[in-house]
Amino acid sequence: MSKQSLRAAWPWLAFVVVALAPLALSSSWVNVAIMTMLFVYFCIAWNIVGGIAGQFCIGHSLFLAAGAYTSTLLAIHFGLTPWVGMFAGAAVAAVMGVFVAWLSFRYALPPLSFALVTIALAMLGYLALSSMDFFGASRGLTLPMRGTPAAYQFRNDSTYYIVILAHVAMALGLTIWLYGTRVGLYLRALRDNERAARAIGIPVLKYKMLAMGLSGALMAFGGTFYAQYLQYVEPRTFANINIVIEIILFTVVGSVGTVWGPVVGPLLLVPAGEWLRHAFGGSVPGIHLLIYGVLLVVVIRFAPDGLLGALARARQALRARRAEQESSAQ
Amino acid sequence: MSLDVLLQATVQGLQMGAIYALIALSLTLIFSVGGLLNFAHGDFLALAMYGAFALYQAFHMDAYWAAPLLFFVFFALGMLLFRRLVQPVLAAGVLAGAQLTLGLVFVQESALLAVFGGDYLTVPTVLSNKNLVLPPLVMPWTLLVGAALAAVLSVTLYVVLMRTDFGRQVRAITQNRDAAALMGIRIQRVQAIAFGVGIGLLGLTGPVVVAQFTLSPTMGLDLTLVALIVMVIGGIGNFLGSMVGGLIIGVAESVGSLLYGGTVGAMIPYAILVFVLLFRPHGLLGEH
Repeated sequence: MSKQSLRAAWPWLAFVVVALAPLALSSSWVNVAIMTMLFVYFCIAWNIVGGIAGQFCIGHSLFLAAGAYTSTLLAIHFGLTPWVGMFAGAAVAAVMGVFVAWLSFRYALPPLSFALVTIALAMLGYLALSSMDFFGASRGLTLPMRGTPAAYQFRNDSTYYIVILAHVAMALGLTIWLYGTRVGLYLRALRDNERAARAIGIPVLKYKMLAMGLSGALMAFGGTFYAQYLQYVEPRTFANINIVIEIILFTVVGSVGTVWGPVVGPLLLVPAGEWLRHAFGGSVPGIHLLIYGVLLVVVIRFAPDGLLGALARARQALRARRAEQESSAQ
Repeated sequence: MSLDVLLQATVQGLQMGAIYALIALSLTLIFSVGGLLNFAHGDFLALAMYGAFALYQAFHMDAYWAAPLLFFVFFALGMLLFRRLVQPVLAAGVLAGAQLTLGLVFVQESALLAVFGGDYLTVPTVLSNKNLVLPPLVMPWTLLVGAALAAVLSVTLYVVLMRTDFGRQVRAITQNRDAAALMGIRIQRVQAIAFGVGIGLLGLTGPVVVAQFTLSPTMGLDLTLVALIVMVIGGIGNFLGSMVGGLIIGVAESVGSLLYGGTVGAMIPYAILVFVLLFRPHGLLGEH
């Protein structure tokens, strides 16, 4: 194996080791591991729009809810297995994503107004879901109990973990593939300089719509998984923008717009959050969230490009110093 | 439905609108000088309201006395935060700045939860439960005073922005940052003061309007969203637009909840935003 392909392979090896570890550990940690991987998956999905295409979308709770509610409603009303329903949910989310992108990007609005449009639509979605009886209003909906793998219901949590791990692996593969293809290059071009991208003939609007559709569909698969894992859906867990804020912060701490940033962020932060809750949550309610929040802000303050960005900078500085030493030694 | 009820809702909406306008105006002030979209804006307002609550609990200080005190505290807090935290991150881009403020949302919400607990709180003031009756209108004094003060502050801020050197510097930076720097305007100083004034105004507004709200640690995000909506429908960076937008949202929300009930009323501001962005994407008073 050449040195270069070894370098490309080591993040994968590390990831596989970290990902398989919870299966060997005690079962009480499997729950944490599932939530961690779920957020890894969400962050990878968000990163396609928020990172690779560089559009600050805060409306991803819409797609999450679209996935969760579509598959759940289909299971309740038609007895359709969520294994099929998840694709219906992804289709709904993809259409919504394309529409939202079209709605926001028809005019060349200032970049941050995309954030505002998506936040407004997400709030509309949240209010609609929590008031309409068809969606169970604020009580939510409970999934019919089947208890069989054919109905996407498993007896032990390890199986759920393997399912979300498969999701993550596919999403990661998709991101890496995106990076290599023309689509990914177009997306990064319009992120880095939209005017220049337009000038060299990239159909900017079309590719933004594509990115939102793809990201939305991935998000929806995660929504279905989350609904199956909890066995219910309700607006505060599935449609609240707080979950999007968490997804964005995790990705930012990892490194926005990179392949491994959205993996590293939640991989460190979700278990850290659980540990803090375990250690401090009992004494004063909310204190663990406070420590956690301060931690996030400190990382953003000292490494606005995320931990991976800081790591790359540190390595570069080290290499420069080594080169300097070598040249002075000669 | 009688006309009187509709009139009552409209007047009440206008008063809430004046409060929204002030919150949006301070958000616009911060946005216009650095491109920073402050997602923690409503949380600072919530913090000020909790400050009023704490001062009342500890010293029985009335919220109206707490207001000027909290103005100075928040002004200092804003300057300090900008210099130590926001400015270095803003150097990495406005997106990083917006992400930082999302982090601040998290910090403030959990700090409020840790200190005050998750229960709903209210703060009584000297004017609580007193109404001004002007048949057919009945207006709570707390709302009237809050709205009047918000209106006065909005107009004052507007005049400061239009007529003073500081205001001209702010507008110069809004229009063309590089040219402003070349004209000898000290950009970072103006930014820091604008941030301080923006946050300081929230410190002043919070206690004055506290009677209108039920305090909970997560109230901030809703307030931020209202302010963002007002800012966008008025035209981003347009100070007059923020004031008009505030009144529109206030009336729409109040009349909407009267006609269609609470949830639909809560949806109306967001629906207005989506429609404005569809048909007048640069805002009602925005320039192309």
